[in-house]
Amino acid sequence: MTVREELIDFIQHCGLQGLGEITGETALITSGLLDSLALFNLVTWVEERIGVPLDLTTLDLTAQWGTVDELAQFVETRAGTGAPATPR
Amino acid sequence: MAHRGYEIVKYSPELKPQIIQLQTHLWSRDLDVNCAYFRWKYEENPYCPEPLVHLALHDGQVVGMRGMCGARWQVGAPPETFLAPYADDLVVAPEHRDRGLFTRIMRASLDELAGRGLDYVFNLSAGRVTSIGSLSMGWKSAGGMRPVGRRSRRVLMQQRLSKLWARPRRGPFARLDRADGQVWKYGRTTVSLSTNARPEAMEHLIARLRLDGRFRHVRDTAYFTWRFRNPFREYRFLYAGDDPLVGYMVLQCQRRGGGGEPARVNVVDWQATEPSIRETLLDVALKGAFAELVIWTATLDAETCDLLRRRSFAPVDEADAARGVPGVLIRPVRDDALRTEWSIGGRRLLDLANWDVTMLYSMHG
Repeated sequence: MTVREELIDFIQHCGLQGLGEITGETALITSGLLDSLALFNLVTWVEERIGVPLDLTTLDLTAQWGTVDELAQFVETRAGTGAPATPR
Repeated sequence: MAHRGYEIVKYSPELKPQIIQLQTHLWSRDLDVNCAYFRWKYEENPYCPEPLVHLALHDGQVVGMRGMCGARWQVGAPPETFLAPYADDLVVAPEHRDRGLFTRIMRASLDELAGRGLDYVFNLSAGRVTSIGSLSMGWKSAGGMRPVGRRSRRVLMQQRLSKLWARPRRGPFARLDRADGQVWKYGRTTVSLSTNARPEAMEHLIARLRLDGRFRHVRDTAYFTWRFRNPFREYRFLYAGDDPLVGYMVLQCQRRGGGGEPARVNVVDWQATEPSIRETLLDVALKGAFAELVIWTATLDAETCDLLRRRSFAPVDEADAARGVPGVLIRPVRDDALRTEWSIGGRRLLDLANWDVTMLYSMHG
């Protein structure tokens, strides 16, 4: 399973069905449909994948997690590096 | 899929009882204390006496809230002041979550602030969930607050044992309070303890300190008079000198039912004309033998951080701290400013080096 497929599977099984049919282009952050708790679950999922806590001071969610594909790329870039996102 | 049946409205007094009830999910289960907190924070606020509160209604019932607490900040030397409300008290009733209400309430709040001509909104006390939700709406963080604490295993153990034995727990200030009326002398400096703020004397001291132009909350008599009336918190004041003051330290703990760590005492403000007086205030505070004494260090100078290390302070709340929580969250009020440089008075808001943040400025204090 690719990260993208895992992510889509996660979204479909954790109460984020408000997004409708999920594809790589599905808007995540900009959809405005994810409440804080849903986002929190998403962040927890990402942290499990990359293996380190996400330093929120370095995140620009609207730019980096705009769509399913962008988030999948974010995870792939950081997974296995063991390093937090680059500080601003 | 948009969820229908919700209406976003501005606060009106007839909705207050429902707000107080809704906030049992966030503030406390005590409706009287919730009511007192709302009154203090939104109706008696010295910078915005008209509550800046937006609500989500469903079938006429309040199911969500976002508050904007009035706050006046300063930057530069000599300082220019500006209003930047403090976003807080986000709550959505459990059965109405995951329906985009956070976004809709926040949108309405931002639109109102824009209509009032305000430029930025801050939040210094968001937990992980709210921080993530905020980042999704274009907020950014200038940095985490890096809390450090000094823990006493002996006192923590005593408190846990007294809980097991169902003995009434003494408040964290019990030991310090036994010294009420005592004056500690360190060389030429005298330090006294009080349960009362001295707003005018504290403002006078702040006015005499050499400021470096960083962002900080305005600390004047009106602010100090209001700030320590938070019904969820209890404060003690250590004063160095008398008239005029040469330093003060404000210690805080939660009242029962006020959330947070019950045994924890926070240093929420700590000011002095000289480093030696700061050190003296800390040493007197340590006589309180608190189970845990915590302070934010992210914007303290190196000398003060070194002093804390020498007094055995070490990082606490590390899981949150690793994620930059709590931090200084910032957002321009208008969306068209999101992709511009965020600055006031020529200073970048997203550079933590431009901030001087004490816990007092946040609702943790």
